Amino acid sequence: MFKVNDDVISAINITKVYNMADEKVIALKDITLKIKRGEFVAIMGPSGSGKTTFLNCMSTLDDITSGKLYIDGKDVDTMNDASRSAFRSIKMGFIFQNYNLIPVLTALENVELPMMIANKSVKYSKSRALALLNKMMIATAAGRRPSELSGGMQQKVAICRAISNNPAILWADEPTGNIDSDMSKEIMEMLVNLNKNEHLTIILVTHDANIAKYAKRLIKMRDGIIESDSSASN
Amino acid sequence: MIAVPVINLSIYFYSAIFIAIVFVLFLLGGSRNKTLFKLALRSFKKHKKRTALIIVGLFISSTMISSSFIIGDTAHTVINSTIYSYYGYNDISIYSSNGYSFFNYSIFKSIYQNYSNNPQIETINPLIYTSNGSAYDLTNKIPQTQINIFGLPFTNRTLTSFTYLKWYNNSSNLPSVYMDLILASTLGASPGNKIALIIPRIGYKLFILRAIVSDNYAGGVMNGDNAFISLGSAQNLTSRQDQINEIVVTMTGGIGGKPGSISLSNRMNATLAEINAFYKTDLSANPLKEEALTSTASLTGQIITLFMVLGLSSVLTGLLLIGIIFITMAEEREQEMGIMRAIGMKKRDLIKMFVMEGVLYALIAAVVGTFVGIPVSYVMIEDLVKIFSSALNVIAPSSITIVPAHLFVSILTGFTLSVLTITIASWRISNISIINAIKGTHIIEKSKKQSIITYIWYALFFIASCTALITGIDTKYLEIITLGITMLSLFMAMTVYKITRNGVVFAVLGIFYLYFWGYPDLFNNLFPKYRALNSSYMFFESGIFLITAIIFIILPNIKQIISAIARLIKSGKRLSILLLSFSYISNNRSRTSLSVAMFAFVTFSVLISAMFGAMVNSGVTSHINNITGGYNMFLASPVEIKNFTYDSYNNTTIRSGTDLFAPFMNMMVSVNVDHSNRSMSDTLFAPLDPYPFTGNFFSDNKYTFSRYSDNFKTPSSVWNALNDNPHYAIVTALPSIPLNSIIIINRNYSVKIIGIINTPAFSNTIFISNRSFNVIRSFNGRSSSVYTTALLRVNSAQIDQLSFIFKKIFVNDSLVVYNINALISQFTTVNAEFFQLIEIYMYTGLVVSIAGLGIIVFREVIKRKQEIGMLRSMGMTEKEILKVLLMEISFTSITGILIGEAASLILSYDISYNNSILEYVIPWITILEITIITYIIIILVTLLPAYKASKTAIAEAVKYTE
Repeated sequence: MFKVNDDVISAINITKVYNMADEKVIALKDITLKIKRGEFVAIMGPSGSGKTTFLNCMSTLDDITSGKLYIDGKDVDTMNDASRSAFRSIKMGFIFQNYNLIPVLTALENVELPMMIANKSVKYSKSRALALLNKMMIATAAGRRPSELSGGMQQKVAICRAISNNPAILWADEPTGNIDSDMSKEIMEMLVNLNKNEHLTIILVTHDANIAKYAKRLIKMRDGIIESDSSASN
Repeated sequence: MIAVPVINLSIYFYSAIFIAIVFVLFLLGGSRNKTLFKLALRSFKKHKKRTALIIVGLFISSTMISSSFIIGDTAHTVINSTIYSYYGYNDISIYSSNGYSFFNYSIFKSIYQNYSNNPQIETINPLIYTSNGSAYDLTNKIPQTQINIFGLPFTNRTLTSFTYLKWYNNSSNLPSVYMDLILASTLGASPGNKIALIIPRIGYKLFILRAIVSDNYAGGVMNGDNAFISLGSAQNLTSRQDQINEIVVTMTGGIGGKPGSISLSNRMNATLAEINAFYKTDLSANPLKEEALTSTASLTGQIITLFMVLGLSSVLTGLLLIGIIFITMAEEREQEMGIMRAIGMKKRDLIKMFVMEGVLYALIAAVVGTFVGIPVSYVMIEDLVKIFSSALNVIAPSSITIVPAHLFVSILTGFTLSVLTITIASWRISNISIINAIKGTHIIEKSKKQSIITYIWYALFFIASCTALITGIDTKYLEIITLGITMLSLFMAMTVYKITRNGVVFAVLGIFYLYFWGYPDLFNNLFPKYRALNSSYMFFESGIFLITAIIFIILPNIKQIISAIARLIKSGKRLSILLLSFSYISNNRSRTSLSVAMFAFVTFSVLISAMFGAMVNSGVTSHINNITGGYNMFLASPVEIKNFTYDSYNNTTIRSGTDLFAPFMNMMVSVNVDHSNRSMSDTLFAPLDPYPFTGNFFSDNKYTFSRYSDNFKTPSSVWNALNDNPHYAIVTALPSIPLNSIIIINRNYSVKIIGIINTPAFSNTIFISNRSFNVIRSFNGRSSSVYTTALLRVNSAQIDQLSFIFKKIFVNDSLVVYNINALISQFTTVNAEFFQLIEIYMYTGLVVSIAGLGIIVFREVIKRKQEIGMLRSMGMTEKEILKVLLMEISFTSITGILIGEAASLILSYDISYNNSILEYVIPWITILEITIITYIIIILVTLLPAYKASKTAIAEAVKYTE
């Protein structure tokens, strides 16, 4: 049984190697770290430092080459596709730079979708989705398709979608990369509130120091290794 | 087996010129704007697999057109070869207009003297020909009736250059007979056997079988059952000393010689007029071969038209595919086109770029497709020959006929159709908004100028609709008036939609179309004075609009359908799969409509062929009593057989094996309706007393009446009235002669039509009483040629045995025996095989659909890569991603299949509604087969790309941009 303050992510000697045509590229080298429940962690580093690979591997979007990875106490490496998918569905939410909303679905349907995938009832999914859109002050956009929304609104819908299943971890990959500074601030404040009020663990990948300042802990990466890991000041 | 075709080299000449012209134009266009040229070409290099699929999809139009031409041209060759083989050296045949009546030999001498020096003529031969003879092999005691006997001068080698297969060298006192292989086999005769040749009512003569020859007589007869004797022997056999009944004129230039027989016949007829006056004959010169060759030209056109119509649905499917391809390509390149527009490219250039690319696709596809038509038609012809060779006496082709000009037309037509569709499809691209395109929103906004162009299109469509309507009213052609009404109602619906933006208007239009094109007999009621230009075009038009009707009803309401289905599903996971797949469908409504229409047309064309064949066979089978009248054997003799019933009854096998025996006296007569000048030839059938057999034709026959006089209550009372009243007649459907009309037989005997029987077994037949028959006969005196027929119901197990016995007993009367059930069975077999072949031919459209589907799936998988990644990150499994894709494909294809099937069921019901022979049947097994086969093929084709898509690496996919 896990206690409230248990580690939500425990990575031991994680290595990720990409087999390219002629050579092997080591993207992550022997990474070991722990992230506690309710932490807001920013991963920073220059281009090619391995921060996105780190996010992909830790979030089970990509396989690790070696090492041990425990998420919420579960050894994810031993899971098959179906159980890993189910695990992701319940335990994780994602937001990306390109919002990645499903273009043929309305904002409401986009938020409903993860709950449907997690096999929640249709009625519950709809009421929860509407409540989330309302909370984010974008209820008027419920019936509109992503192409009819601004970048900021799309990212808000993406956040609603990411937290719809009450995940343990929210992964955010350059969430403000495509939006203006005012909207970026608004989005980051939303994430801070989610972390503070709902004890949601947030792991944010960014190259922007101003954005990283919103996190409580800063991990700097270079050439596939953790260069530094310290609490960041707000 | 058909040999490898020999293609005339000039095809390369035609094609090379055409391709060269297109390429020059293409390069000229490209040289003016090299960027456009490069952009147009890049897709070929970048997407090789897709380019191949597009070409496969596009070439079908040219394939269908070229195969129609090749099948028609080969049929033309086959028919011509058959005519050349049938008439051989018989270019002009001189005979009596009363059939082959005999005339004096001196007439031949006179013709010979007049014309033998004519440089157009090679030889002139006197002949005796009869098709009513019999042969009897005295060794085997086997008869054959109704054989062709030719009496000809063997000294002349033009007609008798036989290939001897077996011969008899010993001397004999008997005159010689030569037989073809078929007759010799039937008789089991060997050279040296004694053969009796019999002429009914005249007698017989004995011959020695001198030789069995190959079926290569070249004097005007089909292969089979031919016996050849000298002219002198024929005169003896027919008791016509110094007489002949035909003169055969052979023109120079051999069997396939140059034409000119028609003008020569005209000159000969002038000579014959003097001869006829002198000898009191009615001889005429008939250029039968040249006339037959001339008349086949229209038949060739009809065959080409038939296959063109059959191929139209595949052509249409191909055009729909072009639409889909270009909508897909426009979506794919939306962002880059927006950027191009942003950096200064004109809308016109965008269209040019698309059309340039399309020209390349269309050109390659037209050439490839035309040449693919060669093996397609090769297979079709080989199968058609197999199916029809036994039923029709035609010469199997040794190679297929390729007319270069027709191949050129196929390339040009396929190319033009593709380019036209591409140009129209590309027009949509010009409506692109720069901002929306760069953002990739897929929203098309129209500028003021484009709106004006749209209004011009509307106006043109309205003018075209009104023109079709007015032309239809003017010409009274059903196809055109109905097209006019359909177009006009579509125009009205589009106008209402423009104002209201409510999709229900199309659903209403769909219901109207369904009623207008689907309600049986509606056109006959609405337009009683209109006629169809070509009924096959009418069926095709009906098919198109029935499919359109159902699509109009379903697709604008797809959201409501999805919502209804969604309400039934409680599981969130299942609903997520359904929601995603249906959202993709409803979001791409134009492409979905085109895809659904494409599958609908393929299914429709395949199923309608299958249903038509099934309806014919079912109709024939279930109306078997009406066709056969309950009888299974038909006997016919060219002469009146005295004591026919008694002689038959005296044979114990016949007596025990026969249930019903209905003999008739027959006579050919001329018929006038109410003393009008309109005269036609008909056959009188007067039932005879079958005693000592039991039963009676009047009460036993199972023919059904299509109509009979109100004075009679039951069909049997009609037959009884005919027996009682010498001035009544029952007829088979005579052209436009109504019930209760008075008809005048041989200008001196009037009868009233009291009933019309509707059976395809008889044509132009008048049933009258025995008494009436004898009265009519007495008017004609000796000149009336009465003959005998009989309908029998015999033990079907004994039918071959009884046939043999009948022929043997009545060999002197040249009695021929037909097994009615065998004839029907042959018909139904040929019919079923033919329609099965057509069904397979129609399946070529499936190639297009599958290519189209392949293109869509390839494209969708690339386009949705990021979305698939996102869905996987949200917890969807690989299996569920696969389900989403397959459900989407299944919905589109199954909807299309079901719409096609529904349209086939409605149209085939309409066809059968007014046709007494066709019986409406729903071939559930065929429907199931078509559904399953088509669906399995579709799933197999799409499974691999869908599976690959489901296996997409998530981390890579979520970041993917095109």
